[in-house]
Amino acid sequence: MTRKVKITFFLITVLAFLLRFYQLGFVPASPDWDEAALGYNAYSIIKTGKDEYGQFLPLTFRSFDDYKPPLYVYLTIPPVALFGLNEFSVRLPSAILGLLTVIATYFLIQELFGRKNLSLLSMFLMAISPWSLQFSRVAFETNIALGIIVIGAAFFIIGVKRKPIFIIFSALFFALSLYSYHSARVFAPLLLFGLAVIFRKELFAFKKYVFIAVIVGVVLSLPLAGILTSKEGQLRLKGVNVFADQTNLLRKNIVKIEEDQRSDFSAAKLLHNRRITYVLTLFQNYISHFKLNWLFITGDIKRHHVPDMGTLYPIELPFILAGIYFLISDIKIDPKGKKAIFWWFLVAPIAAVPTTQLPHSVRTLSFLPTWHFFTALGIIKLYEVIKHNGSYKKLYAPIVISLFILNIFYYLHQYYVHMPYEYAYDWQYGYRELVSNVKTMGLKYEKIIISPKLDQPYMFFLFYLKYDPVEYLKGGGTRASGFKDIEHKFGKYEFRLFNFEKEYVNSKLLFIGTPEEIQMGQKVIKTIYYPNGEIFANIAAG
Amino acid sequence: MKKRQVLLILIIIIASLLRFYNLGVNPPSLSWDEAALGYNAYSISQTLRDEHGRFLPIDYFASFGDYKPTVYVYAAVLPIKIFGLNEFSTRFPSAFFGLLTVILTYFLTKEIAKKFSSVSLSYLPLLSTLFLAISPWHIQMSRAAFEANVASFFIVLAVWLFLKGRSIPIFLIGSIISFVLSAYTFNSARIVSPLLLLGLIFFFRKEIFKYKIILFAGILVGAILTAPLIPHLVSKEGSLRFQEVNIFSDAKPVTISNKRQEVDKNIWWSKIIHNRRILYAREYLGHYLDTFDTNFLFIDGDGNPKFSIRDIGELYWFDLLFLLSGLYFLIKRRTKELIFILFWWLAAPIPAAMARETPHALRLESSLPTWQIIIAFGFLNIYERIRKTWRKFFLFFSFLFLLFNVIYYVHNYHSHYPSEFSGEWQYGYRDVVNYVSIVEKNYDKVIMTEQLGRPYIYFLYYKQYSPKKFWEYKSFVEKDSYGFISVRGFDKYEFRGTDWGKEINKERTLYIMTPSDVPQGVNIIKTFKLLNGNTILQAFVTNL
Repeated sequence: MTRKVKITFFLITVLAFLLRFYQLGFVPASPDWDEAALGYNAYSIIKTGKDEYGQFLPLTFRSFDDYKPPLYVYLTIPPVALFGLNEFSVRLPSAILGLLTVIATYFLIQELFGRKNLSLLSMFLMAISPWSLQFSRVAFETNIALGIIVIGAAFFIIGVKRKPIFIIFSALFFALSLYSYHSARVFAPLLLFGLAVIFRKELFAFKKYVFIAVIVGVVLSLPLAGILTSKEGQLRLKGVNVFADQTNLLRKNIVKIEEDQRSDFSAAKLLHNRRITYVLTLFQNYISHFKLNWLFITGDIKRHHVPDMGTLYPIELPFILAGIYFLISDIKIDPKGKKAIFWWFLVAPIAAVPTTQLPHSVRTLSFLPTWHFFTALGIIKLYEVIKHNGSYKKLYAPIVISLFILNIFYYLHQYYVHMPYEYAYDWQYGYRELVSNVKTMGLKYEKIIISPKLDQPYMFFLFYLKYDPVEYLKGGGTRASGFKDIEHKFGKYEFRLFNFEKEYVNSKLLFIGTPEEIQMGQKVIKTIYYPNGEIFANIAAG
Repeated sequence: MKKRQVLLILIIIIASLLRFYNLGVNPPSLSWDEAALGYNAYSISQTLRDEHGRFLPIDYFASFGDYKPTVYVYAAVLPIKIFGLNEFSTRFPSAFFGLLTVILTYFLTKEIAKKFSSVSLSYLPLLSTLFLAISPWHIQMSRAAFEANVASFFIVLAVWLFLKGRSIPIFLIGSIISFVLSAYTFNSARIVSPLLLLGLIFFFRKEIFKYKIILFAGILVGAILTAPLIPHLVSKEGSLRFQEVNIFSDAKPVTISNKRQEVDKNIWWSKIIHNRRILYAREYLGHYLDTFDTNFLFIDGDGNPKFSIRDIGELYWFDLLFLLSGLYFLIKRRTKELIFILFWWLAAPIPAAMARETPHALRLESSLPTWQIIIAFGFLNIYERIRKTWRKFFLFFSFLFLLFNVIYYVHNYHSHYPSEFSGEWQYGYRDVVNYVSIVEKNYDKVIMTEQLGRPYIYFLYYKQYSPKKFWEYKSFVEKDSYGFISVRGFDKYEFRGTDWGKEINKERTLYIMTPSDVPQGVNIIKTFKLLNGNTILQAFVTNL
């Protein structure tokens, strides 16, 4: 690296660091239930060696019956041990991996294409990427999966191009990614397969290293076989599987087949065959990830983007199109690099294809860094085109830079100011204040009853009370969870539905519920509000 | 005859079959707008006045207060004279001009293909024409009385005339006249056509600026021809209809803008970044990008079953790969003509994106046949790059897959679409009117629900009611403050709901209501069903 490149690289790294660590525990304003669960399970492992269900060092965390892959919890152990159980500690692994993703992007692109400008610009765009930032600042497994895969891929390319020992490191990382996130179990092998085919000649040259790498990879992946074939391991897939609801999926087919039979046209049965519907559904799901509106304007659910923006900057759109165009048309670009990028780009959505609620920016975070690479290439190549056209040359850089600054400024403003305000509900805001109030207030009461309508309150109470996992497991730990409103209790906390108007006569009980459940104004001791003034929960007693 | 001419004729035959076969029967019924267009044409042919008695309107037909552009009605006069007032004749102009658009596409793409010397690309005109002939989007629009489909014809004609006008300057005037006609045919064309004309002038400036006088004359003729439309466009009625459908009259961005500025404590720059114009711009961009929504293009098409059969996108699955490669090669080979096609493709959604409902196949129809040209261009360029030995396989499998696509579409269109969506096409009215015509002599009054919307037009249409007689009931025609026109009744027909308890003179009155509005204990004498077997309307009389 020349001095100039080194300085730029360093500055981008600092920028990426700042954007990922500034206010890390406070924006988003509250952890969502998964973040709380990851944190508490790490805490529980530290104190007892077991998870909330009492399982000893599990390879799958049952959690809310979504059977989380284990890596995030284990990565959270050091920060929780160092900084205590809080939002910052829980989010730290994701933020660090987010930073590493940015750095690895530089090396990945540099090794593939050997153009410093392109590598630095891709790296910069990853540093400021709304998509990457969104998931680097929260404890989302998908983000550590992305980091591990990008590092693994960068190592792979370094390995096949220069230092074969890196092929082994690459295998290590790809194997690790399988323990990080559900979708990675599909994406990582697909990506690796593609890379292996593209660089097959290089791999053949390093047979010895490849052999070791394969052994490392296989050995490390072996424990996974048990998880994937177990009933629990498959439950998650069933929960989000697009084919789960066959009746609804095939409703039209049945009507049509009957209609064709009535009109003696049974040959048409072939057209309404359920297999065609299956293929069409997969096709629909796959291409849904290329909806421009989703990418640039609306995003999907509110926890996955900031108000009024998608997951990419709108200004990137023209450059992405240009980038794709030039990546195909420019014969000076290394064809293997081209193939690698396109393969990455095209297989990224595959893990999400058989699932519901698409397009889904968490399951397809693996798109990164391809979108930003296209943008970077587009910016550079368009400049080269315009360079020959003197009159516009001088305008190009100022216009592009100022448009990007506007986009970035708007994004950061939305992220730090308006997202906490407008999306507080979606981030399950309010528990920090609620639990700290209940902690002091609750001393006077024998029992504290909390409505499960507040969405997995037991986990937030465990998290913010830092409830002793030894005690918790002694009381039986979590017995059943899942997406149902199941009764639950520990210490003097009871999580169940209640009828406040009937039960409040017992003055030894403290009730916490939604404003619909606890309405009687005079009995309410304390109300917890969202930033916009709406009520999160009421605390009341007889 | 040469091979290509035979192929062209074959494509034209396919196009005609797909457009005219069962034209009067599927879509299964006339929608309100179709019935209105048909009856107005009938009224013109009988009296030279529209249904409300206005003499030969050229700016608009008031109709339901939606102020329909005029060309379609006039185009329907002759078919209705020849075939009588029925579904076929009402839809005939659309199918006919649809067919002409297919044929024109051949000549239009010929102008584009001229620049290429390769044998494969010389098939661009035939292939584009074929793709338009079988396009689900274009067939859907050609098989019902949609003004947009006729406007689309004038737009294609205008572009072709303009391209021809580069060598035969007089065609430039024809082009401008054709653009003006499109503006008299469909609302969206009033924005698309000027854009396209400007685009044409810009892209081909070098070739046409030598014909300054003709160009000037053309623009003058265009301006004169447009003049009669201006008063209506600037009138209250003209703008009301526009505001109803447009995103900029939505107050929500203003609320959000104010709220965000408040949260930012009204700091000066907050007024800039949370300006409502920025919010509107974002909204607009979102609606514009909806045009390229993957579900709309490749999965189930327009959300309104009148504009799509909902089993297939506006394009075929087959088209996806060739659309993408077509765009790539368009840019790669960028002749002026190709760049204009790209411009057309991108400019056509500009007016459609202003509406709340997007993507909207009808308002986007002005983008046809650019999709098909791009797809054909992509197909041929890929073909060219395939090794000679593989070309046959490529052609064979492409043909097979496309055939499957077409069969899937045509089968669903003809075997399932009518029964699945007959309700959306206001099915049931014809049966009602035919039934009433038979039994009405036994009653003094017929009271019909307005639940299904605008029943009056169907009574006029299917009874071929004399317009002159209809004008005698002017006092029953009401116009509300939004400019909507409703007809409370005429002759012995009243269009309203009933409050059964308060109803007087029930004897000798025939009621026709939706099942949920049929009171207990009446004597149901006739039930009207949709094609899927659900009851839509019931005729009943008092039990006394």
